[in-house]
Amino acid sequence: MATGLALRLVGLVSVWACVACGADALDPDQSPGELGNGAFRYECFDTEDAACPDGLTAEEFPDSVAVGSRFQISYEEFDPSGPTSAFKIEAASNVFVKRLDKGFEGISGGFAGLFARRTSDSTIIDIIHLRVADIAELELRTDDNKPLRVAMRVGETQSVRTRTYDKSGNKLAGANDFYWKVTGDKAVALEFASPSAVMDITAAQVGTSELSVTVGEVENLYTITVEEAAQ
Amino acid sequence: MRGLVGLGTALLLTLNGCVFGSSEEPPTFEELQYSEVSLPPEQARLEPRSITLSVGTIVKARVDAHDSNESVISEVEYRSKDPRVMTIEPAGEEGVYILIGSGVGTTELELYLAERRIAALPVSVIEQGSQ
Repeated sequence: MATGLALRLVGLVSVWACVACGADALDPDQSPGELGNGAFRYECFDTEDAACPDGLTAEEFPDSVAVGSRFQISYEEFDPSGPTSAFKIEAASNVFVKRLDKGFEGISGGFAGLFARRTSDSTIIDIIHLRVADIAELELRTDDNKPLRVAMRVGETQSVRTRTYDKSGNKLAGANDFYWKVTGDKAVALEFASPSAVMDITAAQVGTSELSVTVGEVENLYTITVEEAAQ
Repeated sequence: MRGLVGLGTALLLTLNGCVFGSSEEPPTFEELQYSEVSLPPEQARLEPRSITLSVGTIVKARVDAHDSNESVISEVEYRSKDPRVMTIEPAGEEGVYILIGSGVGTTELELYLAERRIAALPVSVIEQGSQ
């Protein structure tokens, strides 16, 4: 009994040590697998993925992805069993995520168990649980990470990117479809077609416009006032 | 002649062994014991004679079947009766398995020994956050 307990403790310490040493070398966009055999990497689904401000690399491995968003992850072993080791990421259930040709789509809120299956022998090598959460809040941030300016001057353009949060204020990852619409005066013009997670907003003429940005059930309204260009 | 008798005796003994082997009662399953269990974020209850998992969650565990003499029954094969509810797969290390809550519902974890079913344990896969 005591020997068994001791062995289990040694095992636990070994697993922890392995995870810890592997985790030291992890990139910010990686998260160690729960079995300690390697790390999952968050891959930008496309240039509009909320986790990827530069459109290329995720800032970090996200805690949560948004319901309705597309996302993609990959897996790398700490100690590769061979140079040709390749892994397929599969979902435990189709309740929370749906398999796409490339990556997954968040379906409903909950913890989605994902596992890395080695393609050469179909063995499950590692697992991870990724939280999927409903979007509760939407925010527009400019390229220099400031809130959208609602006072503009004719000729100005501001580039904005959407951000989404769950009800607890946690930032959500994934590529969602955002729909943009301008009503009222034609004071501002939208430079890209919907759906788009990024938008260039140009002050076209003096007046006031209502800007609506919608994702799923969440809609934000902004009143943008455009004045004459500064002399 | 003596050689033929010897061969005949050996054949008889072998046949006897085969027949005895196939009619031998399998060990009486008593319970499952688990170790090296991973910790999913949602409920996973691995009991000696039942399993409860939350849907969408994955658990890794070393699983040993024990008989009524508290001895490990070796070479047990584990199968899920309904993989739409729960799946079980080897984890690449002998005796270690991955249990996956695939869909809400109930099923059975079947234990086979040389293609003979020796036990079936109830499995429940429940909604996340339901307990």
